Amino acid sequence: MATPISALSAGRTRISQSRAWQTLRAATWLEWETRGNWTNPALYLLYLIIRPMTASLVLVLMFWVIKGVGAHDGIYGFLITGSAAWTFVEQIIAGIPQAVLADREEYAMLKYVYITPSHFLLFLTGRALPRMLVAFFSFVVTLGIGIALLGVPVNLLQVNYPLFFASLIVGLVGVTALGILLAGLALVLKRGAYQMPQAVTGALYLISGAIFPITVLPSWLRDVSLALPLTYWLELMRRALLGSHIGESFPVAETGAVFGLLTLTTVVLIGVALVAFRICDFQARERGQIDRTTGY
Amino acid sequence: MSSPPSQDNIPAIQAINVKRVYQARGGRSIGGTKAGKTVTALDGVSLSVARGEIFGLLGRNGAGKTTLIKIFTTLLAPSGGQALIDGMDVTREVVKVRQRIAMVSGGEQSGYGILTVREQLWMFAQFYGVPSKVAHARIDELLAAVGMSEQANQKVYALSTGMRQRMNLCRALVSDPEVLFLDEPTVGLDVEASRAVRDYVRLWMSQDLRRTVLLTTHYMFEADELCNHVAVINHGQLVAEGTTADLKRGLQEHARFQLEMAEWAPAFTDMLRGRDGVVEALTEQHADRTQLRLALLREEFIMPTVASLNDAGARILTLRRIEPTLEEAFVRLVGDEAEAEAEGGH
Repeated sequence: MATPISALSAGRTRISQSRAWQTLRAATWLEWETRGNWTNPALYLLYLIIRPMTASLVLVLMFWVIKGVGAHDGIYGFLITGSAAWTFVEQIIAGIPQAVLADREEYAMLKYVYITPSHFLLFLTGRALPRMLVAFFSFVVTLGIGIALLGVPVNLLQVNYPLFFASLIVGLVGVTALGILLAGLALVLKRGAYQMPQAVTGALYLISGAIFPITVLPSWLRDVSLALPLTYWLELMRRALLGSHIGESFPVAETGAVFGLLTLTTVVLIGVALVAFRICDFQARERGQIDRTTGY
Repeated sequence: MSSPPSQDNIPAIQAINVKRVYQARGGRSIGGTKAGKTVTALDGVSLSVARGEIFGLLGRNGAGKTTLIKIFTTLLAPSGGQALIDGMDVTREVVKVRQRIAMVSGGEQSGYGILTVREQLWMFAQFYGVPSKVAHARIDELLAAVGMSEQANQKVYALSTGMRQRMNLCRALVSDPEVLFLDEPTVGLDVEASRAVRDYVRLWMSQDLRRTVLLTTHYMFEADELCNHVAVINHGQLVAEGTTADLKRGLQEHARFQLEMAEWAPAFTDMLRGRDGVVEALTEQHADRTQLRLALLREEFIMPTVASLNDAGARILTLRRIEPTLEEAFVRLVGDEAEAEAEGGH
């Protein structure tokens, strides 16, 4: 126990100024490790494919029950692209608050991370990045299976890639903002913190045009839907992938206008999420909830 | 660290009339202000810890020790008063405070189980902006210092409680903090692991005079062994503060001594009782010696008293000052309820 600690002081004056980058990198790495270690990688890969595919096939089967087996009607493109893209939402919106809860309740490490000088929001963003990668993989595989088995009309040579990637990036920023907002709520919620992200994701699944066009929603619910970036994001993803096969499912016709609305609603959402998170963070410190294990 | 160097005349840790009130279950909001049941965890606590000190905060369960540490470490907002680290307010200069501090709590199984010890320590070094190369050098030295070099590549979930706590100590120190908060760091550890933690804290403090530790503990011997100064907190209020010797002596109205005598005569007792400064003289006969217990008005009366015994023909074998233990001082200060707790702690 009497080893001298020369290196401890040696680094004091040479601390890197890139703490933000280091935090992002370390948090991303942590999430990758925790995500990748809960099971066999091959099994996890299978799970990533089967989950969205099953969700899509359930919808296809329901459609067959109503319209008759083999009926097509161009709906597969809508369903499969929506389900595939929804993986991003599930992974990120549910994943960020889950990271907060697991760190607090399971690993008892949230307080130690929280009291570091790193920016907590960067830590949370870092936790979202591996989930984006996983979701992208799931998205590609689901879409591929949809094209191969169900004849989803995606022509890879005619995909509008600039629109696809631009929409994907802006959409992921919005989804991450929503995840951070829910992470803030998870900090202050006593009961239902684990269920809350799933409940929110479920509600958004119904109203943001993931599985059916928002034109079928009651007008008041359609107004809510039009305030969400997710609605525009899903629409743009479909337009980029399906091109002319998209049909007349969205009330705003011009792609440029939809992209503008996606950007606008995303910016608003980021503002709302940051303010909400700040309030929740403040409340959590006021109430002493950062390190409180709820046991729920 | 990127923060400016500390000024030596500013206390490393300072609480000024810190209050903390919790809304208990059943508390409700009336007209925008909380009303109903409240629990006062801290009721105007003021203390000051100089740089370079190991300061002990003693108190029974629920006394407010952990609450105060949570406030200092920016985990909890105070309801009133001011908490300062190196003169910086913990609520207003949060990042600057966090650059200087680290914390270890005892009695918990914290850690990302799927990471190895080295990975976990490296990750925390990143959160503090320590370059990877420096971090790995520190990790090697810290693990060697706490006897965990062989566990460096072991997964955290496979560590024993004692090893996990040593790793937690390394996790706190990998950022080279100026102020370390130890919240009952040896709770639940076996004798060897507890000693390893205490030994390393002492070593770490001896390596840099700017370092400061605030330790809360239930174990009075631990405070006695480690701390320069201690404060006793009870029901959210500081009830005593000083060196451990001050606290112990504060209990004694008189200076007490015990002498073992080889030659003794009953007349000696009468002689002693008639002397200036002698408050009490009690004897107890044993087969080959006599035990004499003296209570004196002040410590300095002991030398003339011993001289008078020698002159009278008594032969003194041993002489020792009787001091209360820190535990006795603690029990006296916080009342009988603490007694059972202190016994349980051993």
